[in-house]
Amino acid sequence: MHDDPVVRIVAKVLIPSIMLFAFYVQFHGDFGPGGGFQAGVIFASAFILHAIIFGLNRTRHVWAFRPNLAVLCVGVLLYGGTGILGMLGGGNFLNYNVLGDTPQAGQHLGILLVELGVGMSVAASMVMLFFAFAGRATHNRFLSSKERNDE
Amino acid sequence: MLLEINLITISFWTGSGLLILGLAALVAFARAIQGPTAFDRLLAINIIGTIAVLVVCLYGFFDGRPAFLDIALLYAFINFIATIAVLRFFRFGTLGEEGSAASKSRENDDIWGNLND
Repeated sequence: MHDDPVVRIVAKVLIPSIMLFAFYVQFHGDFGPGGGFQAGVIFASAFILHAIIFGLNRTRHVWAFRPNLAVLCVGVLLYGGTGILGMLGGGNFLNYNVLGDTPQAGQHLGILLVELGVGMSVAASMVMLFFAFAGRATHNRFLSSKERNDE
Repeated sequence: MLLEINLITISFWTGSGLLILGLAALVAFARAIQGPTAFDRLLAINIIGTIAVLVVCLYGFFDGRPAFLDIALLYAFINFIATIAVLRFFRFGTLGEEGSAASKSRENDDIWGNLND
């Protein structure tokens, strides 16, 4: 599909815009509709558009499996780490009040970190899900060719 | 209960705008059901998506909630991605592969010729 100039140019314009919009939804979530989960899904949809137009192999070069896994794990750790940080400060798990000088500042920081962790994990898992589903045909062919070779 | 309150507070202009957009969506939906080829149906569904964007914008404007524009923008992005995905699925039969053996053989097929059969 990448040999079609219209689709390619539109995608080149749209993919950065979608990523920027994902960051807007992520960091503007306190004031408007949005949050970590939605931002993660929007961010992943940019990679899905790239994979649809330029092919899965090129997208795997842009965004490889290992960094994706790292982002997924760092997101979960950020979420859990913020919770543990609240415990270290003397509160319950995910108690934001102890993170800053005032409870308001602590809540601001805590919600930002937790939403960032959620966004990272969700984006990485959505990209991983799409890769798993879209690459299934190749995988099945690989398995069947392996069976033929074994026979 | 909430729905009734919303229906009462909707102004004349919002109501007529939503009605016109709904009629346009119905026309597009008729084409989606009737459509002789897959491309007619796809175009009709794309039009319905665009009308949904307009409905969200219109309702947000008349309700005085500019945050609805964010949702409309997102809907426009996702609508484009969905259309491209379905088109690709019709053309190549897969979502992710490019240049593999299966898609190469399909790539050479004349898709318009297939449809005219």
